[in-house]
Amino acid sequence: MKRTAAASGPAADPASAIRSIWVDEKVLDYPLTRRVLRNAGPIPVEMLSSGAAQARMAGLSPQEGKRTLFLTRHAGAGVKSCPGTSDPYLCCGYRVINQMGQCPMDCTYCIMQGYLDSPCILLNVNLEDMFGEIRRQAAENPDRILRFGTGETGDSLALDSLTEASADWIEFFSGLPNTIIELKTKSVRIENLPGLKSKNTVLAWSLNPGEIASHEERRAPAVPQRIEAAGRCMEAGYKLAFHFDPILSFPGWQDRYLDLVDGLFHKIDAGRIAWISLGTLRFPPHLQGIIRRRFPKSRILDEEMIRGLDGKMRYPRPMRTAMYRLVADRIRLHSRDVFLYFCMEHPAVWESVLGSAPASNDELDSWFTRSLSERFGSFDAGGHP
Amino acid sequence: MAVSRKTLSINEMRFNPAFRFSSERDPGLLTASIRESGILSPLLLLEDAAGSFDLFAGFSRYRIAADLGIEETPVRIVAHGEDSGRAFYEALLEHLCLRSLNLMEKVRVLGIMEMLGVHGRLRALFLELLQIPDQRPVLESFQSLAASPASLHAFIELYQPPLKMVEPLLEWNPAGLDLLMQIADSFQLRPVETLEIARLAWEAAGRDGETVASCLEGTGIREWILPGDPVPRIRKIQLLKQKLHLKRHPRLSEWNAELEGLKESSMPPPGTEILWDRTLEKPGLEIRSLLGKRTDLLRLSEWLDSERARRALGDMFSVAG
Repeated sequence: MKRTAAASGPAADPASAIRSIWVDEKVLDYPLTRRVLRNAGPIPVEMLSSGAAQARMAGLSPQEGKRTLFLTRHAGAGVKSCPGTSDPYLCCGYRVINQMGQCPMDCTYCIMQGYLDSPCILLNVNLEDMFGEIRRQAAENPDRILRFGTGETGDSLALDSLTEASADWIEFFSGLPNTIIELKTKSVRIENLPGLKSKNTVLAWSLNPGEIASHEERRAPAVPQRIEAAGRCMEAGYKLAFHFDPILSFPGWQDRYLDLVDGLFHKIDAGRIAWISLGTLRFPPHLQGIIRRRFPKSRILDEEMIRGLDGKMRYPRPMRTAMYRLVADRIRLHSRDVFLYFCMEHPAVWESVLGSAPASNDELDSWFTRSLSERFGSFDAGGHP
Repeated sequence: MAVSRKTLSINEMRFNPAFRFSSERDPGLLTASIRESGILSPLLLLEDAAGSFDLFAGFSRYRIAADLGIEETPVRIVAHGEDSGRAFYEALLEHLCLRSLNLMEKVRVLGIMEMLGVHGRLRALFLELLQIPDQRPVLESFQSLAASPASLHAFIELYQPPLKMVEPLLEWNPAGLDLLMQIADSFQLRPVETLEIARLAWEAAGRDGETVASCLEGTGIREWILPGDPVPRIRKIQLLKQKLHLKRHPRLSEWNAELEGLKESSMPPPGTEILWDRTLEKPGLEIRSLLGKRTDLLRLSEWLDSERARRALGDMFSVAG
């Protein structure tokens, strides 16, 4: 796949932000390392010991970090349950593949700013270790559909023109019938995807109104382009998902979110949407200082927030409920059966907005499975339905 | 290290307080020793481009020598450059055997290191000695601290808080910090109280996009910090927190005020309280009643059955439930 040489306009390749590649000398012979270096073109590459890389990282600013890709490997397999949050908030039982840490895009609200130690974009190239761990988890849970994703600690497709990792994941998961891989992104560089065939791949985009995207999601493609990219993937046969997360309060948010929902369903067939998640802005308190320091012009901290029962900062519950109700009702206007869920929300919010709440995280997981089976039949591998 | 050794008149030395790190030790023993044997360990001087000498290490010996009328002392002289950095490192090492440095002293050391052009391995040794991690955010915090107003420096000197504790203040503008320090001084706030007020003001200001100073001014604080204001300090602190909370949480304050009004209108019997989570995050109401006598139970059940209580509690539940 050809990589755009330099960022030019909103459709530019996020990978074009990379200005240097560091390679942990221990991973030089990994196939993914060789592929990245082959695709790197004129980007300078340096071999480093992991100790030297750590020392160099300490001196990098966040901006420099976002332009530096470090190829390394996990000490472990790097496949874990989503850390989610604590009781009483409900979490969906997602499994996170930590292949990437950080991302070349720079969203003001990004939790990774305060969560990861490295300012660099880390790419763990030991795919076989991750595959082994996923195979093990799938074998241990033969009666469940396990949802995995690479888009939690990074963006699943942002560096795909360098890594072509989407193909690795889609092909690997197509051999595991009781699993789903969700590739979650804001990128529109989907050139590697259409030729691939998999029934258990879900391509997901996070969405926010254009006003928010342009102000708070730096270097991310414009929202209409994301929806257009999703449409092309739908035409290629993929199932889709969308994440209205974080939903943000700002002057005029109501109309902007209604327009966004309408715009989405205008382009996308609801029958091809596997799920939609909703989540309002939330973050650990220490992120406030980081956001203020890094993004003094951001307005996301202007709104009234409280410290939730899990210690995270959130809008007060009545506000969140009103916001969810507006967005969820509009989604329901377009589709009565698309699976809607909240990310890290209180059961009382589920009750108020959707009329019922799962009794536990396990029950929420089973709601997912039921909805997917009812709406899409088997998720077994072997081509598109 | 190119260091020249000789004796020099103490009148030829400049006493630069920027280089002074007090040892806080009892000078009695040292005075007796110098009176008896003179200065044995040479003072360290930094020679500038104009040929002037700044006292670099040995401030206690210098003072005692001056007090005792000793005119000449043995000295070691270093010029600016790598040698002066090395000499400063050794002086600091010696000093740190006596006591550790506080936060503002570390800021001064970093400033001196910069002035002397310390870099590379020596810089790493300094940072290790100072127990400062060589990490950009930490070093930036020290830089911000160096540039912060004197009022904050005085606060830190007085209370010796750790860097983590004062970091949130480093992003304030000087006017806001000065006002905060005036409040801390006037209300005799402990550091933890000061930082709580700081956090509330910062959050309230951020919300409105105001500067922290104008946010604090907006609470009418100037009138309360006047000397002789009769309102007790505890009450002033409470009022200030309330005002800042209202600015930070206007809707929450409104919902809580509505709940208070409904609670009043429900007229619960004596000994009965209606409670709720003030952040409204934990849904529901808690009715707590002290049933000391059988008649209390009767009164409680009559109240719960009353139309007034049912309506008010229903309305309360629609906000807090």
